[in-house]
Amino acid sequence: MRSDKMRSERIRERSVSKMDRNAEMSLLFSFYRNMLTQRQIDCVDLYYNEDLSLSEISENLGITRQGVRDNIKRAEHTMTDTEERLGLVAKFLGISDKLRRIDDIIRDIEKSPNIRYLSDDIKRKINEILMIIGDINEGQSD
Amino acid sequence: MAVKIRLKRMGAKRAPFYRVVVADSRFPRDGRFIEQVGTYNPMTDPATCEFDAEKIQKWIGNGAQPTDTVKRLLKEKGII
Repeated sequence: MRSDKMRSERIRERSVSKMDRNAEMSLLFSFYRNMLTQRQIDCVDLYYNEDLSLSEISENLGITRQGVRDNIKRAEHTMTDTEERLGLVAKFLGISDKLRRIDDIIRDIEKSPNIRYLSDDIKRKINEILMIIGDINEGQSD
Repeated sequence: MAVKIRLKRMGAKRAPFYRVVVADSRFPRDGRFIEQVGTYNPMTDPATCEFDAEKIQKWIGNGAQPTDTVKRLLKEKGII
């Protein structure tokens, strides 16, 4: 239990500071849902993405409240453990940050008065870069 | 029929973003909700949220129950 907490603390440190625990789990879930059983997926989705209470999930899925709780706890453990080993979420957040900086720089370039000296071809390429950044942020690249 | 105010995740796969919605406490399979009363974005630093305070107070006055998470956000904003 304690090491779990330390682990999730470390993820938080590496990622967005003070990120909400729900959001953190939701993010871990979008990366690692395939590591979970179908039942765990159902429970975690309703709990973290739809904000349902344990007893509401229990009614919905027809399993006991304790069963829902166990499934969520086990799923959280699997996901934080996987993040500890692979660090995909932390890596993704790091990349997102840098993409945001690239995006800012390009928008500065677009606002600069010197933009009119650039050829249409270069302007088109700048636009293309912005679109690729958008795609990566949407997670469409995978 | 109990009515709740809860978060509902929207947004891209890798960018959690939530709507704050009023919905039937029995969660409908198709994810239908009654009304949207705000948004919550935990990915900005600090997290940002926007609420329609008037609507929310009206719903709570009519007996709608906010979830713990929503209650925390509403308290931060001084709406309840």
